[in-house]
This record gives sequence, C-alpha cells and structure tokens, in this order.
Amino acid sequence: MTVECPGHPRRYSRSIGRAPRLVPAVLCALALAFLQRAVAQESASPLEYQVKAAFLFNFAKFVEWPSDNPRDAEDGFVICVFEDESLAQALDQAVSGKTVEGRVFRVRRLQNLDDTRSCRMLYLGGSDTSRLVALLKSVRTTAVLTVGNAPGFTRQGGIINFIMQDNRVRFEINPEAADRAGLRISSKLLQLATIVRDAANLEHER
Amino acid sequence: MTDDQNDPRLFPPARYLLAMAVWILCAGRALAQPLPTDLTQLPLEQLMSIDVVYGASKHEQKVTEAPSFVSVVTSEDIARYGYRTLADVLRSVHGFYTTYDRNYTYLGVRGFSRPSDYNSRFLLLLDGHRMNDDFYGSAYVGTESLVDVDLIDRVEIIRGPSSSLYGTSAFFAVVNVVTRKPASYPGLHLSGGGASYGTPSGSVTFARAFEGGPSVLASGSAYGSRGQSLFYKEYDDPLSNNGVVDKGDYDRYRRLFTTATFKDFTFQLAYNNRDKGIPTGAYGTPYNDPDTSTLDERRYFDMRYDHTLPSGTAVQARFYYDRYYYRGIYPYYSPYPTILHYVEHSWGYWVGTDSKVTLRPTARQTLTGGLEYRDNLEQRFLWKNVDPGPVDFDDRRSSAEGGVYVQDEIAVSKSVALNLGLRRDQYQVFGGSTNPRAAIIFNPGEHTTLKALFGDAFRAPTVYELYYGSHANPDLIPEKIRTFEGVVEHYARQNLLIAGSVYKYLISDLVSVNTTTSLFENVDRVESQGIELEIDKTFRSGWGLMYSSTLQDSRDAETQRLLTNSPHHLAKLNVHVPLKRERLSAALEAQYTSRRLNLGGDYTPSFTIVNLTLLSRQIARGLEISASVYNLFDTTYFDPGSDHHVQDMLQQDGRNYRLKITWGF
Repeated sequence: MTVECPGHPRRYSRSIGRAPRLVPAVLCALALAFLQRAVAQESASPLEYQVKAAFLFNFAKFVEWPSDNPRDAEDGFVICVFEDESLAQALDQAVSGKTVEGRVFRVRRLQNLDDTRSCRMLYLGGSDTSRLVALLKSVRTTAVLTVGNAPGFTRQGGIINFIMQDNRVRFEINPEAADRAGLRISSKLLQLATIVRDAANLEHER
Repeated sequence: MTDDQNDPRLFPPARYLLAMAVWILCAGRALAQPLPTDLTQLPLEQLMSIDVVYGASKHEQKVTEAPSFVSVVTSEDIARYGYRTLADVLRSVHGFYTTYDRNYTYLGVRGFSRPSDYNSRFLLLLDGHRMNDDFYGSAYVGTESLVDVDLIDRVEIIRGPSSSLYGTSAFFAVVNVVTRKPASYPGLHLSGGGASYGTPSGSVTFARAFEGGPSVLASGSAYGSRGQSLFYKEYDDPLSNNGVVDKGDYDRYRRLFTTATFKDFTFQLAYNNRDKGIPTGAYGTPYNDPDTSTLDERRYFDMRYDHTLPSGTAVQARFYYDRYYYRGIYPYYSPYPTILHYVEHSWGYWVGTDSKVTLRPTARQTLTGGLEYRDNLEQRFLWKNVDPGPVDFDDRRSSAEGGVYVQDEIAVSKSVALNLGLRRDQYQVFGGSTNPRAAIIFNPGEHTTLKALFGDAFRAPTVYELYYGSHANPDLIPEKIRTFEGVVEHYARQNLLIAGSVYKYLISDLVSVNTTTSLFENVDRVESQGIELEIDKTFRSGWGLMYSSTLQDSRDAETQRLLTNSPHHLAKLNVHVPLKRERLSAALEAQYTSRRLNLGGDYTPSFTIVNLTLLSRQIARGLEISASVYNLFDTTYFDPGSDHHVQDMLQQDGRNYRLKITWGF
C-alpha cells in the first residue's frame, strides 16, 4: 500500500485481528462442498448437456440407416460417446427406458475408437480439430452417424456438429458426409440445420 | 423491515452449521428422487429455442422460465455491433440508458438514474462474482470496468429487484456477465485497434482446454486515449482558457484476466487499473488542469467449486478476496494563481464466501438455497489538503455482513409455475433486511408465456454515505423498493418474438441530501410506472431486426415533481445484415432518448444516435476486422450534469471511428 499512499505505510494489525471471524464461514462453504462430494460420485449435467442429449435422441428418429446394416445384429440402438463424460451422463438420463423402432437405447462410453462396430451414432467430444480429423478417418465410410462439438467438424467430414449460437444449441449438417456413410437424413432435420459442405481437400479425395 | 438495530452479531457459527446441516440432509434425500424434466419430448424447433440463462434464479434455466424480464446480449452481438464497453452493451437493451460525465459512466433503467450514484443500485456480477465494491457500492461499466468485452460470452440483464437472491444492490437490475470458456475460444488471439481522439488499444488472449484435464484462459489488455479538445460555454472567459479544454480528457487502462478450471474447481484472477483525466472543471477544480484525475483499481481472486449430480442437485461453494482502490487528485487555487493539490484515497479489502445448493426434491420442484458471508477487513479513507504534505484525515473501519436465502420453483400444473423466494440479510452496522419475491409464470400455449411478478429489494447505505462523504450520516438505513410487473413473451412462427411488460415501482427511504441539515437522509419516496415493448425477428436469409420502446413516468411521491435524468421515452432499433455470409456483415443501431430534466430545471434535449459497424471474418484464416462509425450523423447531444458540475448538461462525442483487427491462430 505504500505504493499508493506515499509516506503512509499501512498497518496490518487490524485485519489480522479480525481473521478468526471468517473461520466459520469458510468452514461452512468447504464442508458443504466436500460433504456433498462424499455423497456424490457422478459429475455435471447442466442444461446445455441436457439439450444436446435431447437432440441426439431426436436425431435417431430423423435419420435412416441402411437396411442391410451389420450393426443391426446388436440388440439395441447404441449411441457411443467418446471423451465427454458430462454428455454421456446427460444421455444416460435422457434415453433411459426409451426405444426407437422397437430398439432400446443404450449409451456406450468408448475409451478408444478401435471398436465402433456396435455404434449407430458416435459422439466425438473434444475440440482439437486436427485430432478429430484423424478420428473421423477411421469411421468415415461406415454407417455411423458422427456428431461433434467442435468448429470445423462438419467441414472435415463429420456429419452433424453442434454449435452454440446466441446462447442456443444449433447444429450443422454435412449431407455429403451422410451420403458417404449411406445414411439418409430427413428433410425436416436438414431444414433446421445449417448446411455445410466438405472442405476442398476432401472433395478431391472423392 | 429494518430491525435488530442493537444486535451487532451476525449469524453465529452454530446457526450457520445448523442451516448447513439442513441443506445437506435435503440434498442427500434428493439424490434418490426421479429425473427433473424430460427434454426429449420437446419438438426440435423448441429445443433450438432454449436459451440457457443463469443469473435470474442462480441456476441455468430457459429465458421464459426466469422470474423476470430478461435480455441476453451475446459475444456475437458484441462483435456485430462493435460494442467497446459494457456500457455500450447495456445501452443496447430496452429500458437502459447511460450518462457519461467524462469521468464515470452511470447506468439508468426505466427512468431511474441518480446523479453520481456509481451504479450502486445495480448489481454487477462477473461469472457470479460480485463486482460492486464495499466502499461506494460502485459497479463500473465504462472504461473503468474490469471486463474486456472481447472476453464476454454473454451478458444477462435481469430487470427488476433480485434482493431475494442476491441481497444488496440488486435494486433495479442484475447484470450477470459470463466470460468465454477456454474451449470456445481456443488458441492465441492478438487484437489491435485504433479509434478517434488518439486512442490505440490492444489485447493478447490465450486459451486452451487440455484433453481431459485443466483448461485455462489468460488475457491482458491495454488502452489509451488522448481525449478530445472540448469547449464548455460556462467557462468561456480568459481566466479559464476561453472555455477550451485541450488536455485532461485522457483515459488509460490496463487489465488482466485469468481463469483456470480443473475438474469441478474454477480459479479466477482479475485486475483493472484505470486513470482518467477530468476535463469538466468538476468539483470547482481549476479549468483545463490535466492533474485533475481519478484512478480506480479493482482486483479479485475467486475460487469456486461446482458440482452437479445426475439427480439435478447442484452444489456451489465460492471463496473470494477482493480489493478496490481509488485515488482522486483535485487541484485548487490557494490563492489564485497558486495551485495546490487536494488528494483523497479510499480503499477496501474484503473476503467472503458463499455456498449454494440447487435441488429437485420432486419432479415439480426446484429448490435453491444459499448462505453468504462477507467480511470487510478494511474500509479506509484518507486525505491530504496539500499533497505532498501531512495527512489531514485518516480513518478506517471494518464490518461484516451475511445473508441466507431460499427460492422454490414449483410447477403447479403443466402450464402454471410459481417462483417464490425469500432472503434475509444481516449487517453489523445497521441491522437487517428481509426481501421476498414471487412470480406466477403461466404458459397458455406452447409459445406464449405470461408472468406476474412481485418483489422487494434493498440497497444498503455505503460506507461512503455513512461516514466519509461530505454529507455523511451514520444513522442511514437501507433504501427499499417494491415492484409489481406483468410480462408477456410470445414466440410466434418464423423466429418472431414479441414481448412486453407493464410495471410499477415504489421506492422509499431513498438517500438524498436534506437541504436544511446538509446530511444524507432517508427522505425521498419515488413512484415510477411504465410499459415496455420489444419485437425481435430473425429472417431466414440471416437478417436480424430488433425494436424496443420504453415509456415511463417517475415522480417524487410527495411533490409529484418529475425526477431528473429520467427520459419519458427510450427507443432502440437494431438491424444486422449479412452481406457476404460470414465474410462481411453490417450492423446498424439507432437509439432514441427523450428529453431529460436536469438539475438546473431545464431540459437536456432529446436525441437519436446511430452507430454503424462493418464486420469481416475469414478474409484470411483467423482474421477478423471490424470498422465502426459511432454517432454516424454527427448529432450534437448532451447528458445531464450532476451537482459536481457547473454545467447543467455535458456535451457527448460527435462522429467518431474505430478500426479493430483480431487475429486468432
């Protein structure tokens, strides 16, 4: 404080003398936090995740998968989630006990992308675009609906991407990517989405 | 509702712990309860229209569910319209207006703006952290603000009283500023700009979310403005440089802002230092003396813990350390032409904690409860009549305050919801205040919401008003406001929102100077009523249009005289047009303010200001260029002065420009 009031050093005695009054308040806040933690094992699912989970649920109704899909061997409709525990939890809540075309929804958390055979839908968390490009390559021509949450996800070959716009959850669709995967997206969904084309380099590959 | 005047003790620990135990028990029980709401049953269109707003009920909710008339301004709006400060942001929403005296920017809403109240009747939150300081209660929104608008993700403006959740200062409105999350603003962003009146500025921001681990955002910015050469006819004599001020309008700030998140913990460190020359000759200072200035410095450290369980139960605990410092240099003649410097300093250090639990005991209820405690370790005022020289006055105080609140949101039926809240605040200095709020929210159809709102709020007298101001009076009690409001929000087809509000405010025990005793006293009573209308439309082609209008009347309840600085009519028009998709867009805003009574008894004339911004993105990778013209038609307009000024009205900026380039990689 000497800097601010030249020649008038500040005396600390008063504030130190007052410190004990804080103790109950701090204890209270910390105890509250930690006791709560002891009761709880799971983690966050605020409204944004709930909304996204509801979208994922809805996508299942507006997308047609090829009828000769080997994924049908699996006895449920599996949504795979890679690297987004918060969303996976919201999804657990959202789809529990629900069915689509007579199939029970199931949420699978993936540790890696080695085995995506059972996935009808694959949600890729994380926002590192270059890494996502690599991940997408491994599933690009298989009949899996890829959904992301990163800028540029659809341009790089992802099928659907969540974007936040004016505080609301919106989504982009890349129809070319859906074609490659053999998926048919209903016009209803396409109408509501922002349509995104492949980035140039992908087009050349085709 | 003030009582317990004789009991200086705040909540003793035993009571604290008891209350805490009750919440924990409730929370524990709530874990076993079923899911709150099922969003999967909503049609896609409605999912797309869910706004995620936090501040109105202290937890995320849809705008239509908020117990208030809420506006949200997003980072997109800020970029589109070229907003420079929080004041620009707030001026753009219905019911709000600002007054700039070339030193601080004062907020007004719905016809109420007290001269030089430092916005202490507004609560400003930065990521939930209370920004109002503990000395003047000031909430800064101009260049003196701590927030860099480029770091803002959104600003939630919650009109009406919210003391039932937030305690003091949540009197006219709560402004909750939410900063960007590192994941949504990744990489390194360099920004530089230049504006009229010799105003360079720049900022560096780095943000990164590490895979499965911590995320960080760090930003530093600096701004400098030489200021204008101004003319005030009140000073038009040879002894005052013929009314011309050619130095002394300068404005400089430095800011730092960092956030780090790891798992459920968030740490925040923020700092701002602003030095402003006062060019108006305010407080009887010699005219055109560049030494006349104020310095404001604000910093805080905030540590937060958030945890949400699948049942919807959420817990938050916060601990913070804050500091505010002010220095004013006021030269004076003694005698003419000798100039001496009167210098005053005031500062406050405070620490505090708050904790909050949101739980959903049944599918139809959301219960929020919390505790707050603040210890003002030091509130100090010091002045020297001659600087450099001996200290003529040096006094310090300390005080503490706390609050406990509970809010219940109940879905009575499919279409009717109730929102009931109550908060008790206890102050060491003057006792306590209890404030309720009640809202009935009715949805007659899928797209229409009707709200009936009732609420009380208070503003605690500040240390400055109690002990240190030239009219200080230690017997002050809190100011009170009681409000009644009806709101309609209708989301019509094709992205059209029509919203309106009718309100009545009754304010009592307002702190004003009693002219006989020359002291601050709880004398004034004010009655205010008005209506507001907003129309918001987004076209498929990307065009956006927003119009709002506020008509109001605020009078002294005894004399029936109009309040000063209280425009009967405010209107705003915002249009944005994508010219070449995201590559180039144009945004135009027009703001009308009707005439305002000033202290001299005359009217400050009405005016309309038009601002235009062109925004270009992605010309090259990561490049964003923004070019703005403010006051496009070079309208001459004025804001009312306060009793610190000889001038009854102060001329505002003419046409001015800003060019800003941001490069992100």
